[in-house]
Amino acid sequence: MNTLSERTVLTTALTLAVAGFVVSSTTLGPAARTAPLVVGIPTLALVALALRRDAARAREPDPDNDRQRAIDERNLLGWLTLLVVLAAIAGVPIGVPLWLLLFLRIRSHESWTLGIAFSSGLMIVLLAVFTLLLRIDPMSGSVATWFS
Amino acid sequence: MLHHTLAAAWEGLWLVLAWPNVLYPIVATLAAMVVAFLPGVSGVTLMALAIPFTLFWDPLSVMLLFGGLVGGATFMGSVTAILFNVPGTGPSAATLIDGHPLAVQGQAKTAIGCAAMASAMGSSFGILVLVALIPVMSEAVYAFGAPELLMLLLWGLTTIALVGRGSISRALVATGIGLLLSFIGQDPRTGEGRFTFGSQYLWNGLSLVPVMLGLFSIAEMIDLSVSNRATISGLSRIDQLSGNVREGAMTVFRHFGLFLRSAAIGTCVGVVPGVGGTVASFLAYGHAAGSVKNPERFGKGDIRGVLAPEAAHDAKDGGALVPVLAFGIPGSESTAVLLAALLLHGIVPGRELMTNQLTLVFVLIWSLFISNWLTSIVGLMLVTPLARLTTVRLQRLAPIGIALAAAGAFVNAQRFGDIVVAVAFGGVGYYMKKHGWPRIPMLVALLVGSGIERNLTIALRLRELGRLDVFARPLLILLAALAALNVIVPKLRAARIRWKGATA
Amino acid sequence: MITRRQMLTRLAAAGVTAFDSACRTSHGAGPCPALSGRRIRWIVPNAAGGGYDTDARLLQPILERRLGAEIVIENLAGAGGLIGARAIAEAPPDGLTVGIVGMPGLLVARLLGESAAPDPVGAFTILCRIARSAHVWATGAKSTLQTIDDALTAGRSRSLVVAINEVGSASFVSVTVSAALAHVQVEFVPGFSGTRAASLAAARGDVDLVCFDFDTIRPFIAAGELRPLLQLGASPDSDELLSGMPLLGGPNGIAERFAHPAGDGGAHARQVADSLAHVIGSGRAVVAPKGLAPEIADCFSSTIGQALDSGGLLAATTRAFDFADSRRARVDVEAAALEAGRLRRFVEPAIAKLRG
Repeated sequence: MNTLSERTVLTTALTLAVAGFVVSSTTLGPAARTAPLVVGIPTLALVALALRRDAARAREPDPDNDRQRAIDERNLLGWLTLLVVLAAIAGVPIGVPLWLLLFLRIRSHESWTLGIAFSSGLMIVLLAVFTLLLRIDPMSGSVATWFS
Repeated sequence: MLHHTLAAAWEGLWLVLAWPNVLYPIVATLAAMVVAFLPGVSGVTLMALAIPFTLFWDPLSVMLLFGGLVGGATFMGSVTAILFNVPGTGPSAATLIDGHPLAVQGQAKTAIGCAAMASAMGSSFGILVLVALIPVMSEAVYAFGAPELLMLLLWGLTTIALVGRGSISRALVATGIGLLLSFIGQDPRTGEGRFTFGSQYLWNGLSLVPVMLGLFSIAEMIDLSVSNRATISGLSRIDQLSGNVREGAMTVFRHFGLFLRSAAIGTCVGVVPGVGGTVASFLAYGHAAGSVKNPERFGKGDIRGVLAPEAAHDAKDGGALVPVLAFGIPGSESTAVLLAALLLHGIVPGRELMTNQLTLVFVLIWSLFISNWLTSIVGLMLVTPLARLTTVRLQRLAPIGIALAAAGAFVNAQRFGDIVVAVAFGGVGYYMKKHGWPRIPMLVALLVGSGIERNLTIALRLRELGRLDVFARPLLILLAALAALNVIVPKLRAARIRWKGATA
Repeated sequence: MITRRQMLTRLAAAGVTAFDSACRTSHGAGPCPALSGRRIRWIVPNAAGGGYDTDARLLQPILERRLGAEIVIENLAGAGGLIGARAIAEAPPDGLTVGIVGMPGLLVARLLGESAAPDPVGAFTILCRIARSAHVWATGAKSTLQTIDDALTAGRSRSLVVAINEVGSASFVSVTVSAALAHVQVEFVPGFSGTRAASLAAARGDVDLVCFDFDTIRPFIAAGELRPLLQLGASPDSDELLSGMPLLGGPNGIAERFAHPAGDGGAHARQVADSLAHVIGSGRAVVAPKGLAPEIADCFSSTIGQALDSGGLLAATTRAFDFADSRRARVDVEAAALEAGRLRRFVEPAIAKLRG
């Protein structure tokens, strides 16, 4: 996908989001739907215009297309998804530092020493914040606690 | 009255400076600074923790300690915003708009120096106004009803939406989306749930902190990761960094008029209960971007874009004490916890406190003053080692930034959904930046949207019932005029430049 | 001025408190063996600084010491307290999650058919009641409505403008019912972010009245910013600020006085007024999820009762408490839930009109 197509996809997503709000507003009571409709309808009109412009431009050749960057972006989005999954499974004080270790080793090609040092440091800080400052369960939020 | 106020101020100052009383605000400030460095963890957490420890302390000690805690938490969030684009607190999000680009340009020291001085002087301004308002505190709080608050928030929103660079229609769309996102939760008038889709997470609306961390911190880290830059500043050694602390600090004096206006905005917003420092920072930023003569560099690393929000953010502290001391109404989250601490120690806000216990009030004020200056001084001492971080390889720093942002999103309210929101908005924010969609109007609209709807509901209802006479509310007219000028003047200025260019 | 010795003593005391608390949590020295050394989550259904939050923070250090447990306060604000209430109701009944709820708000939400509202009787183990007070009509000090008679006279020729947080709140129900009993017209201005914001609007003169829990607006009344006009109860409150205050209920209360002369002499109106007083007077309760073991519930109840009686606590604060143990609190709430049904015919039409 080139840059201009990607822009069109983004604008489409924004248009659909606004349209979703507008449609959902019609199911609300009269008082509750006033503000969303007053804001949503003009916003929908403006974003639809932007979509039309972007869709027209998407048919033009794209001199700024950078395929390598696009691959890199998708790779990074995958890593972000993994961050959420690890935090969900292992809790934030363990899952997030674990993610950091994996990222530093696999994507950033750092040494094990540096990876372990940074992730351990982060884990210690997070555990201190959770237990001493916030006084909440370190596994709080993780899937494990849903079944406890 | 003046004599009584001055005598109480003098006595309060001596009480604070006496040994070992002065240790309380110092220790409190340093503790708050350490805590505030972590994204998502604010000084409010520390204040809440301090309450049970201080339950049987005398009122004097309580005022000394909490003055330090209120003042100590503000600056360090700005440091992380400037260096890593990770706002430590909500108000710091306005600082990062120009602060982080300055760090990217190797000017981190200048930015932090400016932030430190603006912060300290802004808080001093807020405290001066607080003291001046002591005889008329009630009237100051009464001046801001729902219509005035509505106008204040609209001023901020229109400023950000209409005076920014780039496509106005895209800015308006981003503003609209932000407003729609702010409607998630409950309708303020009927309590009916909106756009919650049965989710308890969404029942209370989208929280600002995870959205902010995602839209800015995570998005920027993604952008830096996929870019060709080696480090944040593009430089590999600390001695290659340009700019210096003194130059940054002197910026406040070179743009003293802007500083005064920004601090005034922050103080006024602080007086209005329930608005908070984030609105103050963005309002001041928007005002700066719309009022200066050559705003082209705003958003790209204009030092005035650091000065304005920092001055406003810290000036807010003084203003926020007005409603809490006069009425027991918190003006911000930190003053809400302060209020709990006061009530727990039998210190009841109101006329009694402001007349017969004025010395105690000044102990709080002086403790806050010392705390704010101490925060800035210590922050300046840490500038060089902190600025060094902008020469660290991005492949190391970016994942740390993302990890801290995700953890900060969770720590904010301890809800797992906040991590999902932060990461999701991180992706959205990245692509918005890549394809020229502005993010700031979306964030500001999310911040002020529910307040606008709530106050608009009240104002329209008051008008419907014949209880709102616009012409009998001079502050409302003033705010409306300021809002209009802030939008019209830059357009006139731009038109004038174009006309001059055409006729030259 | 604090001397160095006093400061060092204080720091030492704080350190001892922390150490002591840590020792107790690890060695289980409290009266509730099942809770000793555990971390208890105390849910507060409003933001930090609010009344429920203040109550929780007052009790926290004393309960920690007595129970030998660690208590962590969690603010879960929103939806008029329903979010916090639901979180408590849905937690496991292991004694590790408790919280404060406002029973009037829950009773009103159930009355109005709010599906998200937990059943105050069925969804909780009520540990005790810690406070209750009547709702009070109040005007701004600068208002021309100096007495309840002024308000009633004005309310018959024009609508009284009342500030509330939201349609369907306990305050909304109080005003709707009391205004109907007094035969005055009211118009609501909803949308205020809290009791204090609405009270400021009344003090400023933007609205005629507010109607809130007396304890919450007491500081405004004491400071002379608000003037109380009418207490929505059947018997006088002992607080000096309400001395001589007209009552809605009770013999010769406003409800009976203004009841339709061709009716039953006001008996029914008095009944409705008393029902309203019962619902509002169900107060703030400390609750745990349904199914909590009775011995743990009794332990909480007696410990909180002792904490509220402790001289240190009462000396440290101006809050007024009204403790009722588990059994009495439960009986009161059950009675209030039954009485709430009597208010339905007043409230449903008003809601329908406002929500459209």
